[in-house]
Amino acid sequence: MEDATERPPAVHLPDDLIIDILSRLPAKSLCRFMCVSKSWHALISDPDYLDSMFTWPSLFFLRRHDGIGFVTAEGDGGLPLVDSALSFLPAASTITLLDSCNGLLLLRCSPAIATRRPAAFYVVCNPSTQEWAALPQPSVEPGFDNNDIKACTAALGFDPSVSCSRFHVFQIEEEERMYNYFVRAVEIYSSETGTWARKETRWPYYWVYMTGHKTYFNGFLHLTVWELGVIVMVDTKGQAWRTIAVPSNGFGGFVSHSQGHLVYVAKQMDALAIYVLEDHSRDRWTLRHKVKIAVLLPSCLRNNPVVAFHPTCDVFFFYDEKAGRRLVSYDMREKRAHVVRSLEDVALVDVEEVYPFFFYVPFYSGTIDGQMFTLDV
Amino acid sequence: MASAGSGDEKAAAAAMITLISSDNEKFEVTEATATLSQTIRHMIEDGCTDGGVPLPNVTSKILARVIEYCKKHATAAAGEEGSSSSFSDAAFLEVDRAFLEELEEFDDAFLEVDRATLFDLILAANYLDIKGLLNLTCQKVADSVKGKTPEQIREMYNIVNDLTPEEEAEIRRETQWAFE
Repeated sequence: MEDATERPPAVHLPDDLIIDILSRLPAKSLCRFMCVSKSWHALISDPDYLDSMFTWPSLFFLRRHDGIGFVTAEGDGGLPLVDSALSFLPAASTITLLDSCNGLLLLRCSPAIATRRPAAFYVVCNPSTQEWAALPQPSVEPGFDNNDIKACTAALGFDPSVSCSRFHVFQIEEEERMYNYFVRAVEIYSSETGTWARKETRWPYYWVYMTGHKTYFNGFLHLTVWELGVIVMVDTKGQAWRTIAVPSNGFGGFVSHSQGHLVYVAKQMDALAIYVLEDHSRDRWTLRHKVKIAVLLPSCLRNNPVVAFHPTCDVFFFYDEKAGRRLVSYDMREKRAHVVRSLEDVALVDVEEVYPFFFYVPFYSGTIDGQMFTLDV
Repeated sequence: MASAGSGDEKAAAAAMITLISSDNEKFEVTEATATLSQTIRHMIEDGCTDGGVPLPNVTSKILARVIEYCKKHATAAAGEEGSSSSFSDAAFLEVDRAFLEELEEFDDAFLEVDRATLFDLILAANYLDIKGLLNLTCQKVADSVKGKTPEQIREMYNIVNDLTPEEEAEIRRETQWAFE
């Protein structure tokens, strides 16, 4: 014990034990400790550590009237390890958040008036590493809408377990018929080839109307649709056009994925039913959990209130629009709801119209594909 | 082994193992106590514990404390097994709760050590692969640094700040949120 006071004990712990200890700290403490010394800074900002060991609080990017918001369960100012303000992007007059997928964001940028770039364009970026790539133009301009044809919806496909650099962007082309828009074609960008490929839909249904929920999982983009009783899927090459029947009584549902399975939330009379697809190649759903809506929300909602699934825990998130506009998490194992944050002060876009919540998991390893297009500023 | 009957297990529970610290002190412990350590459990399974188990990384002072922990928690593990196979009526649950509280008190008192001893316990728990002890001691350290400033951390652990003032200012600027 006598000699112990003379030596610095921290130095004697191997890195894996220091990491074990640091992993138990809240993000705020951890970030503060980055300036303890060079080795602590290196340890805490190590991509492998941040990706696998560090327990992130739940993070959300939000689509607001005036741009992009960011909330965490830990504080208001965002996380210092994530550039949530996207300050690394070049100036654009409007940036619209379209999707979030395994650490990357898909944005639509309308050029600033001073730039000579003529049309809106897509940017894929990583707010944790501050990397970004501007995509070349698809055949229909991003965000195009002439009341006959529109290309306002796009999705991102990125799976670090397959490739840490490759990603795909799906631009969904819709056509107006009888006052409704149906999906006519999907144009898919591959970061590997750097090109777009437009494919007419080949689902066994012609009238496919999107309800707005989508998820990229297992190499397929999944979309929820009205009336057909199926989830429609398309792969990254636009070659496989599949459908999965939704669970019975499962119309108007929410689709996502969690812990390696596709999940589907159906709003039934007075309850939310959470189904899991055990085998992705077959339509066999297992009822995982059922919770009375009254338990979650004081007043019954017309729509499905679920907004996200935690990718690695038995937790989903819902938006409580009536009682003070709160983002709430629900732990299916503990059967407990917990307010993540009040969104009273956030000018969210209309929840009925667009889907404003994007669960975000920071991703530090790897470098995304793409020539860094220089913008004519 | 699945083939081992309950008779064998009882015999094993009574068997004694000798642990030898780095400063050559010998400790006699029951197998039930010793096998809280996965490292020693594997040695026993491999049949290489005759003549004692030398632990060149653990001093007698630390080994005595580790054994104290293992004795208490081996009793707890045995108690848990017992209760799960019996009726779990209210009286049993009451006993369990009282025992768990006692165990918690034991753990709290056990952790009342100076920092150097705590780190030595972490190293020993890691080397001997005692999950419960490693979890307990790492959490204790985490709790003790939570909410501290970088200056306090440097002082607590004698860490020399080798960042240049510019580097430190840059990191502080990037992590400003964490200081508010």
